Amino acid sequence: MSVPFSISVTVNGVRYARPVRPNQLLVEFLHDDLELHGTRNGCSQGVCGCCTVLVDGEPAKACLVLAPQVDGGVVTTIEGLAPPGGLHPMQTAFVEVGAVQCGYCIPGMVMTAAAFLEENPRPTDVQIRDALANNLCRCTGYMKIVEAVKMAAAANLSAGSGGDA
Amino acid sequence: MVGSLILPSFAYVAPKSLAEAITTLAALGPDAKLLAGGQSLIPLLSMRLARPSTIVDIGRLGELRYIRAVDGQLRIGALTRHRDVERAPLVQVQAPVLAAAAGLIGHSHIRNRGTIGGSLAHADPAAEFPAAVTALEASVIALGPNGEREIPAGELFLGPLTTALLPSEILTEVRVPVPPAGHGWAFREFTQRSGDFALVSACAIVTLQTAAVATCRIVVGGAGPVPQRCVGAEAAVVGHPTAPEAPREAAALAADEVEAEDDLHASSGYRRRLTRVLVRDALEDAFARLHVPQATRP
Amino acid sequence: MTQPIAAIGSPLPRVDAAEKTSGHAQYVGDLRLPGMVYARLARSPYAHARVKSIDTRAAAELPGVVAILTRENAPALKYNSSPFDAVPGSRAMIEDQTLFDEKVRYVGDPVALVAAVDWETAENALEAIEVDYEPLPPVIDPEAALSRDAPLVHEGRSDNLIAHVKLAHGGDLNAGFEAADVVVERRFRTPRQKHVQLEPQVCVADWNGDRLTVWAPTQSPHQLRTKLAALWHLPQSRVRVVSLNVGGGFGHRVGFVLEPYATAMAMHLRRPVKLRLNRIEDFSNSENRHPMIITVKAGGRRDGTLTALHVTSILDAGAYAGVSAEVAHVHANVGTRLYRCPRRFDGYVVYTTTPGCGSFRGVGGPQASFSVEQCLDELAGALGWDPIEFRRRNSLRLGDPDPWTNLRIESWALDEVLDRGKAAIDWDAVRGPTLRDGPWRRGVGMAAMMHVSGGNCISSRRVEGSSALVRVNPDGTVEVFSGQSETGTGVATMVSQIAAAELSLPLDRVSVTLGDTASTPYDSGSHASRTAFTTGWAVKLAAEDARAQLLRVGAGMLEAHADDLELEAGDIRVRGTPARAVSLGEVARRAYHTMTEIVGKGVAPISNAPPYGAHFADVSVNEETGQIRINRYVAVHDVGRALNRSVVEGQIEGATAQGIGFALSEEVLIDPDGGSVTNASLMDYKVMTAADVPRIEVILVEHPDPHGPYGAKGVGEVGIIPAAGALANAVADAIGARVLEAPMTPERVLAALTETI
Repeated sequence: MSVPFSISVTVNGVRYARPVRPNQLLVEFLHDDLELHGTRNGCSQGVCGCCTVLVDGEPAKACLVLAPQVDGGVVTTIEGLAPPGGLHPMQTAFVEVGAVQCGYCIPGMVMTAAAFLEENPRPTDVQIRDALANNLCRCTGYMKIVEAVKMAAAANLSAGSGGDA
Repeated sequence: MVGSLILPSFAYVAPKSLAEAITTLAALGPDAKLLAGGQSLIPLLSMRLARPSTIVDIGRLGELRYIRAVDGQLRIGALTRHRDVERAPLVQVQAPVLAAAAGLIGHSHIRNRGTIGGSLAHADPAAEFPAAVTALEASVIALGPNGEREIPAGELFLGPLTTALLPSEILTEVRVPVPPAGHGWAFREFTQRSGDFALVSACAIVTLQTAAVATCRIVVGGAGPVPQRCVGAEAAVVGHPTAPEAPREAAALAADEVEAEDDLHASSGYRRRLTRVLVRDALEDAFARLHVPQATRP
Repeated sequence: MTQPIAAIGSPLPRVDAAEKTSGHAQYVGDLRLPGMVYARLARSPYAHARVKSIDTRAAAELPGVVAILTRENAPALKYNSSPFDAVPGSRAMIEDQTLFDEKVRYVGDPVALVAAVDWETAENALEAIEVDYEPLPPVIDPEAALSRDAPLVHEGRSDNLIAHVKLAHGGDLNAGFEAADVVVERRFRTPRQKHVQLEPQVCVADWNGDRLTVWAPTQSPHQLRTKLAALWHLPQSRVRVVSLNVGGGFGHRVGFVLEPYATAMAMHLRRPVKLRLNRIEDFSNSENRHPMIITVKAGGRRDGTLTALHVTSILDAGAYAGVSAEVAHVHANVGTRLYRCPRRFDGYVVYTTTPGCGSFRGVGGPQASFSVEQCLDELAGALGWDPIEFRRRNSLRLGDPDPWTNLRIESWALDEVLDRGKAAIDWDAVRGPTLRDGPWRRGVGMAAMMHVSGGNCISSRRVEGSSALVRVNPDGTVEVFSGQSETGTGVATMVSQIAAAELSLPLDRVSVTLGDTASTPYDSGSHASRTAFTTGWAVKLAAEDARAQLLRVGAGMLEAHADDLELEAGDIRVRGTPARAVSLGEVARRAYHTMTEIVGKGVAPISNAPPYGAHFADVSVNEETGQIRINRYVAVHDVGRALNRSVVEGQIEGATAQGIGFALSEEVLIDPDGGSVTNASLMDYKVMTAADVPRIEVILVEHPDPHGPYGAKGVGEVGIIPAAGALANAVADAIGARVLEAPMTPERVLAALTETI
């Protein structure tokens, strides 16, 4: 057995000091220890993207990060993307377009899509599909997920054009 | 059995400085393993294909994350992320083929965390950076307990996942000789899916003097155990004008001379076939990019 | 914030979307029960071996190991993984599985089950178990497995043949071939495809000495309960199955997956057990789509008449029979049913020492499309007929008896499907002439299909039932209880929408309870494109029943005749006198006070309806690399009536993407010598990403069927069936050569091209 040691990490704005095992993946820490169940393991190989979170503000696959690596860092999971009880515009778009089926991949998809739009607010279809290729979905064929990202982009732009200084 | 996705037990240390990392690595011996961005190593750990006694995490050593231009070279710290290489104007201008290669690695999340030093030390024969640095005739700096040494890219890769680095050494820097302004370059690859490792990749870097090709470097990745220089194909191009049929002829030579292997994704014959297509396309692209640099015009 | 009254057909947002999108939806893998232990299976490295001895002493001594089961101490159970032994009218299933046998029959066959206090301990214990094997010759190739001297996969049987499935319809086959001007015969191979539902297999089981509770991401909670009760000789009333949210099913989760093992450990320990597979195991140790070798022989006359069709298929069932014989029947019917000529099917279902194969969306349909639709395409070409018109000329017609269900065809949509697709893909512009762009050659192709809406009546006598309850609460809210499982297909939304529409309420007034056998009436589950059709029927009838009860109580309150009342926007009122009204809540409250709870009950009628479809692909093929690029992809489907347009499109888009994967990139590779899966990871098994799947243009055609709820037909599987046929035919049009093996990887396409040069 690996010998646990303590890390300190801020997850969704909450500071934690917690023991982790050296060989513990970030996805296990988030899902099993903190019981943030929206971050899920689907492949352990960094392909499916079901475990996508933000580490220090950048999207990362939590099955390709050891829990000790986030010591002192800041992590955002799907549960922290919007204020409690609310939905992020990307989440709203996924709901409205009907982009959700079994839902297992969706939190990771949303994390990828939300981070992508921050970086590229006016994406082309090809750019959207390239960004979503960080994640796999087996239910939807991606059509409605692409639509959701487009809808969120359009909503962002129209909201942004209204009142910025 | 293979398939266990619970990582094997190991200890974890995160040295605070490069010097401390060197001492730590020396003290722990060959069973310790360096962790940089983790995008290649952690999957191996998950499969229990690697069973280190200790993980030495150097991923947060800020001192190894930089891109500088020094004496006609680009010096890139080993912990520079793929994304940084892809986007740095310095790289895009001075060694555009390296930026292009970086942009083809996996998908964006992988490029956010993966590092150039980690990729080179991992030495996947189908990865983009090994092929690109070989074509660029770059070198790496290996720092060990007895100081540093420079290893040319052509001597770094010994086989799949095997390099000339010693267990006590840390790859600290990549040194890329900046190709002359106006050089032609291309990085082409064929993947099964978006973001996959290439079945075959081809990297070409060409320079022109008056009307003839002065230098030409062609490297094929993914086909065999290491990135391969195609010296026969290169020789067929050098000294001749950039004729339209030259890429096709050189590519045929490249397809003959590369060592091509079978694996579960493709046969050696298919890899040879792809080599012919990709080397041709890469050379055509490289020729098309050749130009007389603005600054040297009268 | 008031929602509109729900309407049938409206693309209302799914009722489960918000909780799934925010990360709060619960899946079985999220469960942690007090005292729960973590279980992992130890597995054979050999494809075929005798287990001489197992030494678990070192493993048992590891701190934290709670128990180890092997064949020394586990109960000797006999079972079959299929759910259909629980279905009336189904064929007998071979019970060839046991927890731990004396032999292992594929790489990954379980030899021991470890329970420990955490995953890491369990994993380390697996490595400490020592097994002494006597290797036996593996049986990997299904054709070799059929030979007389092949080693037996299961002792006690005379050979490795599980079943020879035969089917004949439409007259004299030999006479049909004799009447033909042209006969085409081709041999095809199709891949072992994996479901890759993104939630890896998992099961939580608890036994308190009296009651067995199983949380499993199953598609069929009630059938699973029936099977578990039979397995353990327990009264069904003492077994409870809960499915929670299922992270994708696609046929993988219709029968037993991990439940026999998880329940065995729970009963051994009398404490909760969580057993899971990791992704690698999910590939090698759970059921696949059957790889097939399919020979198609078709004859036709120059006047465009198809005169004979003979399909001979070898289905590699892997190590255990499971549902394989049933798959052969579905494959046979999808392959031979649509066309009117004399036709015959011979299917040889064979054991090999490879991972077992089972049901996968479309169940033998994609294999049939890739082979039969290609052969017919080639035949049409040889006869000088346009493929679309050839199909139209030879298909069944309205009023014909359906050879699969023995029901008469009472809705017909294939002609419109073909017309719409032909126009959408601009068929005449792309078909035929060689269009070139550098190394790219362009072509267009199509494939047609006809399917079923659920398993009722198929294979003559099957009954797969659904019943449902609709309860109206005293506050006017409504609850639907259904034994269905939400595998992602939208059943929760669909049944809510039906109940809301019937009771004239907005969607948010309806809640639904699914997937818990303790609180829901029987439903045979989510498979065979039956959910909207059969469960939808049950919910519709239950809601109608509730409505009638409400009107009866309301009639008393309004002092009117029930026939004169109407239910509108949450109120019951006297028709023509809207002022005389009571709210639904008041009626329900009155009912409670008079000791009559409003609970409607619905039982689906035994019916079926044929959905039609055709896919059209415009592709370019690179003659240097063999790469296929899809320029446009049009999927036309007759859905009877779309109950929720967005959900229906989502089903078709997703299934089509899986069909495209089957056609182009997905194949579980088996080491021909050792029998292990060589690409058991998402890195090496090529599920397409968003950047790889083309835009799928879905066209819905709505020809209501008199036997479907609101005219609806099944839509869950239809999208996956014609994809491979359409793409293969488009490739053939582009390059003038047939690719006879799927997936049509660039290397295989290039080989086909090279052969023709």
